[in-house]
Amino acid sequence: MKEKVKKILICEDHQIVIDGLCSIIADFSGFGVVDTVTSYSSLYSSLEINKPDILLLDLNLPHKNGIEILRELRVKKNPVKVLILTMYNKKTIISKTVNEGADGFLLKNCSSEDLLNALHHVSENDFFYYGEGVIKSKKKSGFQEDEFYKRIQLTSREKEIIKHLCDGKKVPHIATIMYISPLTVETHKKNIYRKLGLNSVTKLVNFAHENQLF
Amino acid sequence: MKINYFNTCFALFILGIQFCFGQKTIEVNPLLQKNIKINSQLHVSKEKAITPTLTALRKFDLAMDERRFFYLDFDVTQAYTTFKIANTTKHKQDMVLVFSYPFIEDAKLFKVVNDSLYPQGQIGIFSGKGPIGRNWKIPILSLPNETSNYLLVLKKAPGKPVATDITLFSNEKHVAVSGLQNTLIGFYFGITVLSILFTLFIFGLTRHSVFLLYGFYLVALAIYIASYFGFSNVFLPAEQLNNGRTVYVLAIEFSTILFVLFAQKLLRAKKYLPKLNRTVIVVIIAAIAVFRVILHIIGDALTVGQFAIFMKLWYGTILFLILAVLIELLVYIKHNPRIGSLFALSYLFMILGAVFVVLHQSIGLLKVTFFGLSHILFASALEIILLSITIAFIVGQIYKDRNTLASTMLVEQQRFLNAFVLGQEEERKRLGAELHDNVGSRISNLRRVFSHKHTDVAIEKEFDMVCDEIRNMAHAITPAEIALVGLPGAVEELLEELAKSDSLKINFNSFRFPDNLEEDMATNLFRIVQELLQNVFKHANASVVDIQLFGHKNSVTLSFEDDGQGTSHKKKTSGIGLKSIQSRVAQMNGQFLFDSIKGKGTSVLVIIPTKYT
Repeated sequence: MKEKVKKILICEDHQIVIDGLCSIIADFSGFGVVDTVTSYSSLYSSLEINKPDILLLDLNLPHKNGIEILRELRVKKNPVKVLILTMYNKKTIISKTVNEGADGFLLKNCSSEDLLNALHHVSENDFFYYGEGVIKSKKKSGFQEDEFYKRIQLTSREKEIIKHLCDGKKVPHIATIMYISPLTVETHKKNIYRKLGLNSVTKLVNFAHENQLF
Repeated sequence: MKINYFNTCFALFILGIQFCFGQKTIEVNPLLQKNIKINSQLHVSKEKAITPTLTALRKFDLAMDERRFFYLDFDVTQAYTTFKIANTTKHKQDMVLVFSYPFIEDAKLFKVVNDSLYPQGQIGIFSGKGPIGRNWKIPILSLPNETSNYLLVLKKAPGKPVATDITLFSNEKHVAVSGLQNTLIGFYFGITVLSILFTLFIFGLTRHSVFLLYGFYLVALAIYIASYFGFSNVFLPAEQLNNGRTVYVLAIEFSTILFVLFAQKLLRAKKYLPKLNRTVIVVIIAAIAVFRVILHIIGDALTVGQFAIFMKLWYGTILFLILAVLIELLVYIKHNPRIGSLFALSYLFMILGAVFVVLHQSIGLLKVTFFGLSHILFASALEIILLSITIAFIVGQIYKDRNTLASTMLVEQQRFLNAFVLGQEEERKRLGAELHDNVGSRISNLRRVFSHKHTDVAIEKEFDMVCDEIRNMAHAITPAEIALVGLPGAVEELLEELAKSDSLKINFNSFRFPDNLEEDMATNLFRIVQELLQNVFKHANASVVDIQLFGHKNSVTLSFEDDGQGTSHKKKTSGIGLKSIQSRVAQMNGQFLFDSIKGKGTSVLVIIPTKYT
C-alpha cells in the first residue's frame, strides 16, 4: 500500500541543524520537509499554508519557547503531531512536554534511525515516543491526592506557629516567644493560610482539630 | 589710684638728702595689703652688680617711673626701693613682703638705721636662700610703736626684663589672699587635667592626631602656667632658681609651637591652605633650630645688643605664627562656622593673654590682675574651656562624618554587588545559551549527520559523550529550563540532582506558585535557593531542609528552613553568600528575613512583590 508522503515542518533557530535534518530526512522514504522556520513569528503562517503532519519543534527559541508554542497549538486545537527536538534531557521538561500535549521527545544528538523511528511512531500512534536516552516520565496522576498530601506536609516551624495561633496568641507575642521577627511570623502565617487554603484562625483551629495536627 | 611722687622725691634728691623717705608711711594693721610701688621710688643701676652699701647705692639713678608695679628694663642689673613702715599699735605685727614674679635673681631687704644698713632677709640665687612655696616672700616684723625705713635691693641679669608686684601683707591677710589664689590656681589645673584626660580618651578612640596635639599643648601650657606662678621654685634649690626661668621660657615656646601645630590640624590647614601649612612647619623647625639650639650654644658670647636682635627675631616668628593661624582660622570659619567661631573665641583669649603677658613682662606696660593673680591664669582657663568644647564639637563632627561615610560606603558596596550579581547572571546566561544552543546544537547535528552516513559505534558514543558533557556544563552554569518548566520545576530538578549525592533530606513543595513569573525573578529566586543550599551544605549540619514556594495575591514567597545548628547573630549578615542573596532580593524590591537561633535551625523567608504578574 503506497502511503502518502508525510509533510514535516521544522522549527529550529540554528540553520546548521535545519540543514542537517533536511539532508537526513531527504533520504527517508515517506517523509518530506515542506518548510523550515527559525522562530514562532513565521511558524503560524507556515502551519496555515503547509498544513504539515509533523512539527519538529526545538524548545529553545527566541521570543517564545517551545513549550509555550506547544501550549498555544494545543489551545488552538491544532492537530499537528509535535515532536520535540532538544538538548534538554530533564525529567521536569519531558513531563512538562508530555503534559502540554507533545507526541514525542528526541534529543538533538539522536541517531538518524531514532529520528526515523520517531517520525513513524508519531504518524501511526497516539502514545508518546521517547527517543534514545530520553528519561521516561509518567504523566502526573492523582493530582488531588497529591495536593492534599502536600498540604499537610507542614514544617516544624509552621507547626509551631500554628500551635501558637491556635492557642490564641497574637503575632508579636509569637515573635517574642520564638525569638524571630514579627514579619517572619506574619509571613509564615500568610504562607500557612495559602497552603491550607484558609483565611482565619477559626478555620485554622478547625483544620488542626480535624487533621489531628497536635 | 595713681600718685606721682616724683617731683617731691626729685626735690629732696636735689637738696642732697641721701635717701628719699618722702613717701607716705605704710601704717601697720592686721589687714594690711599694700603695693609697695605706690609708696616708693625706684633707683636703678646698669653697672655690674655690686654688694649693696649706702655709698654704692647713692650712685644709682632715680627711675622716673609712674608704673604701679616694679619694672626693671632689659639693661638694668640692680635696683633698689625704699619704704617706711610705721606701727602705731601696741602690738607687734608679723608681715610678709611678697613678689608676684618668681624669677628675680636676688632680693635683699635692709632696715636703714642712722645711715647704716641692717639685713632683714634675703632670697635668691646669690643669697643662697630659696623661696618657701610658689612666691618669693621676705618676712618683716614690726614691733609696737616702731617706725622704720626699709630698703629693698633687687638684682637681675641683663637682657631679661623683670616686672613684678611687690606687696606688703600682714600675715593674716596673706593667708587669706593666698588661700583664695591657691583655690583659683587649683581650679585652673583641675580644668587642665580634665581636658587632658578628655582629649586623650578621644584620641584613644579616634586615633586622630589633633587630639594628641591638644593634649601635648595642654601639658606644655600647664608647665608654663605652673612656672609662671612660681611652682618651679618649690622644686628647685636656691642656686638653681634660674633653671625655673629656663623651664618657663621653654614651656612658653613649646606651648606656642604645639598650639600652632594643633591649630593647623584642627583648622585643616593642610587641606585648605597647603602652602601656608608647609611654611608654618618650616618656620617652626627653623625657629627651634636657630633660636633654641644656636642660641643655647652661642648665647653666652652674645652682647646685649645682639641678644636683643635675637629676641626681636623670635618675637617676629611668634607674630608670624599667630598671623598664620589667624589666616587659617579665617579660611576655616567659612567651611565650618560653628567650630570655627568657637575656636576663634578661644584663640582670642589666648592671644589676649599672651599679648598682655608680653606687654607686662617685657615692656612693662599694662598690668591686669584679678585677686592678685595675673590675667594669664584666667585667660588661659577660658581658652582651655573653649578649646575643650571645640574639641567636643569636633568629636561630634567626626562621628557624624564617619556615619555618613559608612552609609555611603554601604550604599556603594550594595551598588557594586548588585552590578556584580547582574553582570554575573548576564554572563552566565550568555555562556549557557551559547554552549547549549549553539555549540551543543552543532555537535548534535554533526553526530546525526555522521551516523546517517557512516556506521561507527565508537565514534557515535564519543559524540554522545561530548553532547552530554556540553549539556551538563550548560546546565551547571544556567538553569535554562526555568523558562521552560518554571521555577518549581527547575528547583525540583536541582533537588533531584542533589538527592543522588547527599544524605540530606530535602522537602520541596510549591503552592499556587505562578507559572508566568518573570524570568529574571525566577532566575534570581533559583540562585537564592542554590546559595541557601550551599550554606546548608557548608555550615548548617542539618538533616532536613524544607523549601517551599508560595504564590500570594500580590507577592511570591520563598520559605527555606533547616534544622541545623543555626548561626550566631553576628554572622548573619556577613559572608558574600548572604550578601549576594540580599543583593538579589533588593534588585527585586523584595524583603529578606533571616532568623537563626543557635541550635534551632535557620529560617529564611524571601518575599517578592509581583504587582504586575
